[in-house]
Amino acid sequence: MNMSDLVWHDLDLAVEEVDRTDAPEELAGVLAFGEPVVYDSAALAKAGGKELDPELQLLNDQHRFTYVRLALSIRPQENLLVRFVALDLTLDRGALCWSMEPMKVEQELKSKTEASISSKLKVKLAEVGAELGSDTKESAEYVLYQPVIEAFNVQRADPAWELRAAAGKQVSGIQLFHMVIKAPKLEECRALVSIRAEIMRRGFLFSYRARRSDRREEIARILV
Amino acid sequence: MTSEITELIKELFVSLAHIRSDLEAERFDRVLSTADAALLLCEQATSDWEGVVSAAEGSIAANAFVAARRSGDLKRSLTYAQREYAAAERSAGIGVRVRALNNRGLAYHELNQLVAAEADYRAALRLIDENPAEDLASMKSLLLSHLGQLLSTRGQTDEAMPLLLRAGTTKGLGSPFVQLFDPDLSRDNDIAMAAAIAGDHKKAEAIVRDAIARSTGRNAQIEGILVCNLAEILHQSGRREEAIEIYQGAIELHRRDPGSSIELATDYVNLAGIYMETGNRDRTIECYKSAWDAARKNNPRSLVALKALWGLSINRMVQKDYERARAAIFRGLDLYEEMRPDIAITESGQSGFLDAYRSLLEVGMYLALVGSWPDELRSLIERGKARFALERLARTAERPPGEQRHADFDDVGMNGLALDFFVGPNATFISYQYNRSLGGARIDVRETEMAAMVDEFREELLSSSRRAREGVASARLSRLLFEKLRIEFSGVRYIYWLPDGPLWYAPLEALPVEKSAGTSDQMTLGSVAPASYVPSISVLAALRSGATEAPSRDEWHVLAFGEPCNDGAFPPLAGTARELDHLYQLSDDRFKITIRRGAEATRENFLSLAPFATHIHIAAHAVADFHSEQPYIVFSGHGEQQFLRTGELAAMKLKANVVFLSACSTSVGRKSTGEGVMSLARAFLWSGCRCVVASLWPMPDTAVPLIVESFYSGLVAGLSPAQAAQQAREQHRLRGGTPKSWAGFQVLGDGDTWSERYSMKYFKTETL
Repeated sequence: MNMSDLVWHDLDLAVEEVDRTDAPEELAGVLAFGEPVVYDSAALAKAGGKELDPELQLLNDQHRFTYVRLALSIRPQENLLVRFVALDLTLDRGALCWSMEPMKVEQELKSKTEASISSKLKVKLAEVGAELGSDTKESAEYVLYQPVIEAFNVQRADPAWELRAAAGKQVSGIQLFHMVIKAPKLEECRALVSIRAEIMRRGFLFSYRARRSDRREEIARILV
Repeated sequence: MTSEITELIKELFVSLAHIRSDLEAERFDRVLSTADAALLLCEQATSDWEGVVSAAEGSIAANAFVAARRSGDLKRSLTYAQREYAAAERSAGIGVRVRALNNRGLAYHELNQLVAAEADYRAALRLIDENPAEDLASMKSLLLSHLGQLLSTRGQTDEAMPLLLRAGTTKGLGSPFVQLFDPDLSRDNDIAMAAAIAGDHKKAEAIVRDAIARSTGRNAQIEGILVCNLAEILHQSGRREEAIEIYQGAIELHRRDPGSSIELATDYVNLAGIYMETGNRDRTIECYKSAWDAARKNNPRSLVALKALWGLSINRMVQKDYERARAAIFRGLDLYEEMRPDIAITESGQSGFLDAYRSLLEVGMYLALVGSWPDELRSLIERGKARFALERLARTAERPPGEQRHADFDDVGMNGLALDFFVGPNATFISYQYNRSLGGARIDVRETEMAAMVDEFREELLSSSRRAREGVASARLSRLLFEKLRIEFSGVRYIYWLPDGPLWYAPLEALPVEKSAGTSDQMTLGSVAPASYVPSISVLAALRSGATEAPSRDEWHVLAFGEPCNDGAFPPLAGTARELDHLYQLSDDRFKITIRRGAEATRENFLSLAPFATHIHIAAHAVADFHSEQPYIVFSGHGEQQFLRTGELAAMKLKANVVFLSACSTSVGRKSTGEGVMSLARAFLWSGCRCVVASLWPMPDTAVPLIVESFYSGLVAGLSPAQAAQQAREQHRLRGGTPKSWAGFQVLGDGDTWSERYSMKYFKTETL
């Protein structure tokens, strides 16, 4: 799947608390969220010719491993600096985050990456050249500038990514997030996505929560 | 017309003809002696005969003014300019009055009496604007240029640039007199300087060289300025050796002209800068010394004199010649003190000179630490801070200036800790006083770096990110500021924060301190002791000397405003109603309270009621940011009528002991060099209030009422404002409140109103 196939949903931002000043309570046009892409990880690995690790074969009998790719677009606006964005997931009914990528990006860099699934059903990101991936790979066919990114709570039900900008700069551009979710086979599990942003305006930091056009703060509900 | 007056007029015009030809021939002594005699004749005239005598007197004085300043006698040039103006006042001609105002302005300008010069330039411009029929366009351009250059000298670049552009100039020649003599050269020079700024040094050089060729032999001062500018262009394009040679040429030219002492000093300062770059210390010192000698010859009261003394002091210090370095520093400091009243009456008007003054102070602080003189360090820090505030308070208190005193140990009180910061262009200095101990330290962090660290600290407090919770930036700033001080915070009863520069924006009480043994909670400085922020110890002393004893509770008259009804830009604030309700319940016949809410919470009601209140509480929207010149409170109403701005507030006469500004960013505004922040909180202090609780960022409407309730409960129970604020903050923090709601409130001014109880004097009396 190419980036051009992505369906984007514009999000509004609403202040978390009303302050005693003239800051806008709502902001539009800063964030957009890509329609999540979901695959069966084991099938994806097998399609790539990889045999599952023996330990994983045992787990695979009782669990589903689902690959999820999330996309977030952060557009700069005049007089606003997006300093921080958090992508929070809540997994229910025994599901947990098996693997996440990117795990940690320490510095802003220019990269062109592709994601693949290893025999341990972990997401792997790699730099790619001009030739782009096979069927087993989710490739990002564009160049992006990555802010400082950290993933939290792998192997837990509340995984999150946080994006922070260096001093005086802002988080902007398109960012892809990859995750494999382990869920009990007999349960129908969900991954709920919410987004927070901290935006600097006239030197002050304001906290916002993203909302869909129907005003729901739950940005996506993914069945896994 | 009588024959005497005919004779007199004839004689005056003959004198004027002589004066003009002597001036053309640069025979200045002859101009002055002829002018003096002619002016004496004017005084003896019994009639003005249709203003002819006045017109002649004005022309004679104007020519004498030019001769006096060309011969370097600036004081005498002012006398002639004043005489010209006196004659012009008797004349009906607008042009004559405008020219006289311009000349008197120039004379003041050269004597560095900038307040008077500015007044004259502006008066002349007003006259031109009021008389559009007169053809005074070129005079207006000249005046705009002079005023622009005056403002530029004072560091008011934002105001200066539009004037200079309107005047049709870009940068000027560094002297307001060039246009008076040769507008063509001035224009060429401006074009060249604009090209240099744009990086086209080749073009700039060609134009200036051509202008020099045209000016040669006509006027040494103008030629010298052009040569000096050529040297600067060469320096900027990296041709250092050539620049040195050309500067020497400019020096030669200016030395020949007795009226060019300031230009000569400027040449030397610029040349010294190049030698300093090359590491030639002896030449550098020699040039700075020559600059100082040149500057003080006619009039040492100038910015270039301060720069020369700074250059001398820093280079002497590097040579370890501390004695002479100190001599230069203190000469410079005294010089600024002496000229300060003549520079400007506004804070922004002082900024250019204050920057030079603070650079000198910084070198002095280095020396004070080298010599282990903490008392001198403290005194230097105090000298560089809150000058305007102190002058303002002294005026408000209507005390003679001689009675202003510097603070002593009693102002800090028993177990009180004063932390006095100076954030300079190259380093930060801290002076601390704890009981009878004085100490100090230098941190090699300059203002720009400190500002970045403060920004990180603020953002960390307000951010919900996981990394922010680790408190890395807070710990780093805390370590940086305090690790050299060796203070045992556990014994501290009260902290006086005396911030400087970017530290005014830092909630210093939220900085962490090392955990005490056996405790698990991370301690903050705010949990150690109550505290307040004061511009300087001297300001604290002034605030106290002007204030009466804190009123007892039954004498309180609390004035509270809240639940404002505003237009669309400002959403309703439900939390403010809760604050008013709590205050009303607390009063319960214990003190008088006046509440204005909803449509009654208007600016007009505030203006009429506030002067009688002992306590003021305002729960509303406020608008301020880091560049605001005039932050404002938003009362009920629509449009501009809702707003109460700092300028209007500061002009009020209030007597409140405590003001609580339960609104956003009320201790934020534009930073003013050495003065602090031009915030709403400061405006309340200047209006006569003793202590203000204000906020460093936008405050959440839901959390603030909790803080306010704790604060007033403490105050009613007998705590001082700083103690009540500390209690409120700590309660909220321990209840799990976010730093955004508890760390942003700070107490400014004299928050320790019960200080007598703890002061050393009282303590001594008790123990004796």
